[in-house]
Amino acid sequence: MTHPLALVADGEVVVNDWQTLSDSAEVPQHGKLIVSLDRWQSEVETLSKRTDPVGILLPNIATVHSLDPAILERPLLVLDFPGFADGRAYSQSQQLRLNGYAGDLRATGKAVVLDQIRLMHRCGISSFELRSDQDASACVSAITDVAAKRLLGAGLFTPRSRYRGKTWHTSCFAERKAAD
Amino acid sequence: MYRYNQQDQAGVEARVAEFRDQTARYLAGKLPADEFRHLRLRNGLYVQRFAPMLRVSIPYGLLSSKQLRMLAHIARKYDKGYGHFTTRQNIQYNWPKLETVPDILADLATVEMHAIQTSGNCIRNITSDPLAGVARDELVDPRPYCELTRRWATFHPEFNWLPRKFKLAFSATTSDRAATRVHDIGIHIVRNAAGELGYEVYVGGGLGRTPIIGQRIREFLPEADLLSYCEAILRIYNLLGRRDNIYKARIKILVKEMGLAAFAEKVEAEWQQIKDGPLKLQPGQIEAMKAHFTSFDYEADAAADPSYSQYLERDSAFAAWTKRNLQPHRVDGYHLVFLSLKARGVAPGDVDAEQMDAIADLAERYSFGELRATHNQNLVLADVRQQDLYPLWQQLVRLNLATPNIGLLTDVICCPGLDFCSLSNASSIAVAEEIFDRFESLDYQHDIGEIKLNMSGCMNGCGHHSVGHIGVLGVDKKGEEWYQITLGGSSGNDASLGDRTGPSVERAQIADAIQTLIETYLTHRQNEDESFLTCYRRIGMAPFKASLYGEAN
Repeated sequence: MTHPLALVADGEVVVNDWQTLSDSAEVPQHGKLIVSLDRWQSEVETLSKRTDPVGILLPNIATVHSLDPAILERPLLVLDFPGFADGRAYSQSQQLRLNGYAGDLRATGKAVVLDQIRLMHRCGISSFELRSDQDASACVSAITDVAAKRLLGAGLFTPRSRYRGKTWHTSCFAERKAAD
Repeated sequence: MYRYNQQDQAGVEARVAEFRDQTARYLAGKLPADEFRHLRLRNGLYVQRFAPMLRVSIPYGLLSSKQLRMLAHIARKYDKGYGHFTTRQNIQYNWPKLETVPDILADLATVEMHAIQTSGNCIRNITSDPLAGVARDELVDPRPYCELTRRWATFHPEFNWLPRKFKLAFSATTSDRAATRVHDIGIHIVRNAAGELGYEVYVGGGLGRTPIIGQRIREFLPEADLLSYCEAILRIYNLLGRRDNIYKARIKILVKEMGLAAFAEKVEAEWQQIKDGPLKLQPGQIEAMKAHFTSFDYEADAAADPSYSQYLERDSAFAAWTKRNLQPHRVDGYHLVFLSLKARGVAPGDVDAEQMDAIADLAERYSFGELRATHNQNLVLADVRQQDLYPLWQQLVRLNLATPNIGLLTDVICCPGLDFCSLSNASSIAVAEEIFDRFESLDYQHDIGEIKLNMSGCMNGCGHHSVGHIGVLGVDKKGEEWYQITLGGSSGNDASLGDRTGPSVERAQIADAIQTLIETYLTHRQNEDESFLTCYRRIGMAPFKASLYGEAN
């Protein structure tokens, strides 16, 4: 399994120490884990008792308003962008933040690229598992540069005004390149 | 008109820089072609049959002389010297080079213009009544509301990757001139019984392959809730709209499949959560926007001018033009002047760079330096004193912009067709020209009266054929051009979709067929005041069908 690099909050690469677990794999005793929504729902008893953190990958057809409130207490939720032009998770992100989710909200998938992460960030997504072909430092600039912030439109949508003062960390993850 | 603030200007410039970078990455092979396609579409750039096509946004159709001169400059410098006004009140250039598009966008940005979101599956240019602000039957000027909505929609982070394109239109008059019922969201600004301003909201209308008339989702939405309610509609659509089939991805299909009540319930639940949030319009916000659209300093004694009536008596050609191409202005002594872009031998909606420059001068001289593009693909000078009408008309005649055919048969709505578009099955422009020749006699056209002839080269319906009183649609039959005809469509308050006459007719027969339909109408109408549409609604399809197909047998 790859062990991605990460770029943290406001502009630095950090190590991604979360492991995405396939539905058939055994749950390891230690380490940060990401499980599917299905697996979380069927094994909620054991997974919620785990000492190390467990995050959940939400399919982009999941109805945010019907999620168990306990899910909003998770430290990490991962939103899926399965195709470059499939923007459903943008709205899921808005709904999660509006419903009070304050943890790390991560984007994964084919659309997690330079040309989209600024929009994702503005919809409340706080960390980015970059597609493997992406230039990580350019992606950090896209969400932190002053120039980039000009693409924020008329100012009706700054995250702070939208979510009534809530802020969250911004991190960007890039998969480790083969040479690393 | 609305002028950019610093933030708007910086945003548009940053977008140019972003697109320049995307174009460079694409040309260097660092950005996959399919991804660049999505990104360029969101900057107005299509790749068409022969060359790229760039669509420039004209929010609610309003332009300044300075902006029109820039459009002329772009036509000259980057294109073949002309542009094409569209049914979304935008302008398209058909021959730019992909490599130069970032430069075109940079030029546009210097006059507060752009091509952002004029294509792609996002919120498109917001359209409205081309007579906004000066119409006599207007409740309020819809443009401040359009502009607030434009600011909300532009760069909206959540709605840039929708299932399909999304179009909004506003109307604030008793007669709908913005075709609101065939939009994804159509908004009528209204007053309720208590005298409060608000909106009647329609959803799920649209043309194209499956034309549907929008349904009323809300009878009265309070004035402050415009943006939050639109946001709720868009969010439900973004989450639930179909993405498996491009032809079923518009909101009209979602509303149809869910049913209006179920869709409205979801919107309502979403809206309740956000209605009192930051999207709620504050009174100061609306007033500040209205201050951008204050009325001009009209002369109180403009109606006292005696020359206008003298010219009317003296010059019958001028008088004929005033009958067709003027509309009443809310201030006495002023008129709305339509510049017809439907002259003989010119593709409907086309204007060349010299005409653009000349129109810019005329607008400055006679109409406070502003003009409007209409969804019928004409231009309007909205504030002309009656004493200026005669000299203006003389200059328009010289410019070939004074054809007195507004609202008549040759004032066709028409898509670019086979000549430009890679989707088209029909030479819609050539057919339009043939019809022009057939009905060239203006007396005959005047006798026929108000009629909307709309033509599209393919099912996508860019020429709005489904809502033409007579609609003509190009279809492909084994490589040959055939034309399907519909009757009885309308995009006004009485919006309806046209009914098919029957089997399609071949290319060589289409002008004859239109003539047959017109003659049938003339035979059956009760009197000269009964329009084609009213007559069709009274007598139905049978007489038209009989004359169209009976004769052929």
